[in-house]
Amino acid sequence: MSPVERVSEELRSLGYKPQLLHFEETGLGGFVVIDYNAPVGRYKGRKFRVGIGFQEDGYPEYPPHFIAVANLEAPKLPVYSSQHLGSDTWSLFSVPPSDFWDSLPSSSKNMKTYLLRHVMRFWSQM
Amino acid sequence: MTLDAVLTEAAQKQASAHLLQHVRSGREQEDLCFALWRPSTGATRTSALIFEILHPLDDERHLHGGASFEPGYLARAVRLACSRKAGLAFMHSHLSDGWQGMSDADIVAERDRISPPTRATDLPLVGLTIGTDGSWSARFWTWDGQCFNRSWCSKVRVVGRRLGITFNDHAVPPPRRRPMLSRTIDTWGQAHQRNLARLRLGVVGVGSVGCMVAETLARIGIENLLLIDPDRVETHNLDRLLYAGTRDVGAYKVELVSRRLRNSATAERFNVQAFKSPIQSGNSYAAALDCDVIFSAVDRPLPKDLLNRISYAHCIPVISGGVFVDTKDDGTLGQAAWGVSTVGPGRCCLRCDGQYTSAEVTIERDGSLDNPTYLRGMTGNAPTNQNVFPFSANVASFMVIEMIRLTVAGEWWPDIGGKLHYSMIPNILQVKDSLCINNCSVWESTAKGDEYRYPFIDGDEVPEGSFLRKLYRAIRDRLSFPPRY
Repeated sequence: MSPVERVSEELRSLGYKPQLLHFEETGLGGFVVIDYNAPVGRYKGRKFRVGIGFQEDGYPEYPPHFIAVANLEAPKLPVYSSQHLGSDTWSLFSVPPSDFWDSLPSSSKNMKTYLLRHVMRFWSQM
Repeated sequence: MTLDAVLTEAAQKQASAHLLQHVRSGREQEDLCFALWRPSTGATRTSALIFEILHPLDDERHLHGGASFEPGYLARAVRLACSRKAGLAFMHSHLSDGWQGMSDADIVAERDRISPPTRATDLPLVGLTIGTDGSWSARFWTWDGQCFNRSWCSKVRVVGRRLGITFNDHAVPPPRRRPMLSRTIDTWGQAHQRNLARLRLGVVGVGSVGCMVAETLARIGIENLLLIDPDRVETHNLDRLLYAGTRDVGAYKVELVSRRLRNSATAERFNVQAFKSPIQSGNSYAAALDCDVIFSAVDRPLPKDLLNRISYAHCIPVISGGVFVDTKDDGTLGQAAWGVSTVGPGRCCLRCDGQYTSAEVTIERDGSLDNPTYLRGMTGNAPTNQNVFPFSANVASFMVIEMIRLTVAGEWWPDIGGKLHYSMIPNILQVKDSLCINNCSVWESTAKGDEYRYPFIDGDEVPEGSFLRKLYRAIRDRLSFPPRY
């Protein structure tokens, strides 16, 4: 099972409906995109399309560090790249979960932890 | 293809406690046990990594000066090996010192009794003998379609807080004493020199630190060196790169260094192998798995991670060195520090030591670390490249000293350390010892061998599995002979 398939399956098991997206110009590979309600921060309660970037093998031992958000106005975190796809403008952020991922037991290295600890923090900083 | 056997220090302690229990209490009594092993396959070497000792139950073996086992013990061991997808090893003790030969009874036991059912594991039987001084000897029994053939290992390594090695002098002849090495040999003795000289040592990254490590190793009589570095000499290297002059700009570092090492080498038989590809390329990776100790003089997260993984999964100690220089805004020196860490089974890994994170490996792997836009956006930990010759020389010296401590340390030497850290401004050298965090996946991969697959190897030259396993499968399939327990 490829990392993208594995992530998609984990997200499906959490009740999301993941889709695959490619930003061809960036060379950053695939993003698994879900509809996501910002849980905290100044966007709290607003629904966004959020993508988690995957280059290749390595997940879950090696965590994704790119998070993409569609049509986000004035984020506080630095935007690595902006990409236009259809009518959407995607903001790409590099936010590696360096501070906690490696200390997790293997059984906790999954999308549930990634969303609860990392993406949640991402929104709180936004 | 050469063959080695490897025990982690934990496996060695368990095995020797069992096999030498009678000798240690003053009785002339041999003993035996079975064990499990996994293959570690390099470019030219297959190593059997012993990872679990299967102690006999009360009625499974008999002691009568020699030792014998019940068929049920063998059957239990083969079943366990099959269920764990591991190979079977048979260990027994002899009542003499050093590398052990085999008696007729030993040969009959391993070749005729144990090897046939061991074919069910798809891997050869590995036989090991321990002498009264704790020296190990080992051999593989491979099936050629008609009979079992014995292939002696070149050496047996015990990897942990120390690196214990017993060489097979027939396969790897010890070096003779040479006048040009007399001061070196008289420092730690001929016996240690014989072990040191025959180690196959790898240097990954032959920049300012790595080339001085290589030079030092060549000077102390090391016979086999592997150099891995894809970079060419650049003008800004010339203030730190031993050997390099203006005419060498543009040359591959490994070619320059290997050429010059042939002049420095003091070994009678000196062999240096150079790879102009990064450690994560298939060929370099496979060559690294042939090493007994690897020096890591790289600063990027991915090669650090790869070497960290090798040191545990393949039981090859890695000695890693690095320099950190912080220059103040006014251009003067704010801080300089360097550290040397020895990693491998029984020691704290580089990741738990905080030298990199898996997320940083991902960042490097997707090209972001080479993307100026990305680097401009980085906050906090942007990499710096400042360094000067004396800093590198100090790190290189410490790295080789750590290897010497690892290899020649006597039982009475204090077992302290794992990391040396020097801080220049306060002029403090610290020795730190720590362990991996709970659930460290690097630590958990100890002795997994080929079962552990690094996800970021480029190229398709990596061995897909043990050569011996494939050979065994091919022969078994041809003969339609699938014995299973």
